[in-house]
Amino acid sequence: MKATADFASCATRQRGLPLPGLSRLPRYEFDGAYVERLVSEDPEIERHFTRYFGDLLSLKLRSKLRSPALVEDAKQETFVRVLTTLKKKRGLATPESLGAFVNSVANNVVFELYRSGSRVTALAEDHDEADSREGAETTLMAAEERSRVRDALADLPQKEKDLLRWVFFEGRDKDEICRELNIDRNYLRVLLHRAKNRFRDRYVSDETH
Amino acid sequence: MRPTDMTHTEAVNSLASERYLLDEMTDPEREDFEAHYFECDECADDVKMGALMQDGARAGFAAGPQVARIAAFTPVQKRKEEAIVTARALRQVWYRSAALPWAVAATLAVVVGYQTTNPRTPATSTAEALNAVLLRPASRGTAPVVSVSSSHVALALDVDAGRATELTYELRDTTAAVITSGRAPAPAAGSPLLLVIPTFTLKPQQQYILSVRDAAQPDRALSDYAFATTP
Repeated sequence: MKATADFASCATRQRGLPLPGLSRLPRYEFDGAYVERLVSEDPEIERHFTRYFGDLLSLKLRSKLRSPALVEDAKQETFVRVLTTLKKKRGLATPESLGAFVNSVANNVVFELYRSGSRVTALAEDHDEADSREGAETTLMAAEERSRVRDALADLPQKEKDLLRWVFFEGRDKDEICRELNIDRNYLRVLLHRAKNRFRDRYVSDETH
Repeated sequence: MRPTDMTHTEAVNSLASERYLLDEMTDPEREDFEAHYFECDECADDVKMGALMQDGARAGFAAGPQVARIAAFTPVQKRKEEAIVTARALRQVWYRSAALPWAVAATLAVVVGYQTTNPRTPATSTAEALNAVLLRPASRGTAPVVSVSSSHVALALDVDAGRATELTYELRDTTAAVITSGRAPAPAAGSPLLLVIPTFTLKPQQQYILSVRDAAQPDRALSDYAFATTP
């Protein structure tokens, strides 16, 4: 599977923290104008596209692929195919379905990976290896991000921190947690929902200060 | 491209984002929800925020100030890295496992019982199979390379603790910024220490120094360990 260096370097590249910074992206409507600017390689839109969908693809693919390297490959391949198709067809018949299009292309990429038994196609000899070194700006962003995540989690009530630790850090059996807390599975989801909302409030408020 | 079957109201009412995060969805449900959040800003943001919280918790940020887990261990066996992916194996995801799927360029496999700071949690006696990269004091050879492709890395430190009963450790990058620090009981003579670090806290292609000191005499540096990271 080959990703062009252009798009690889355009996409947010961040190791360790699977989700790149959630610092607010400018909001764009996925409409004809957006797709047109994407097709005409508008750097601002390309950056938005790769960051917005890069996050979503990371989320989607990490539950399906075994390693971050495969996720990254599949992500880049998805970008390449989407952009190649858009350029070839000069846009989308229904630009508002750009998200659905990206998702379906990613599904195809994953399916092909499954079918090939994960053997990623050898890179062409003239493959231009993307520079995986992070720029100072990205590194700084990642450090800030970690700090904000840490602070937002630290601000949660102890009960919510315990819950998150049990579920995600210790990987405890969820039924066991429910028995211990005397709640059912649905209420566990509600507790997680509340923790997430509180986390979001802290995280976003930290961003605005 | 198929239209999403899930509406925003359905996603919200069914706590889809939480079920997705908890890995409670069937494959068709998951596909539906993914198709939905690729088209729905609000749900996309919700899932992203949940995953960020999840990643932070997984990195130990909800566990208190000590991010890393540290324990004495005895090497017991070697393990080969597997690189083959099957459709089902793919669902045993590297980012979700509690028994961490170490993919570091490790040569040691260890079983470690780790302790958490919260005595209420029954996971205190959980055994985990880990691979570790052996680090020797910085002066004895070139810095080992540690892959950050997995969710965590395990470092086995060759420590001569002398009479120290408790150690402190501090991980710094080349800018001298402290990445993580903490305390651990000194291992028995001849036994290394195992330091488990979420890769969340590390960057690829960077150099790090891990300093270990006698907790009772903070001025007494026992050893420094250098290592480099690779993607």
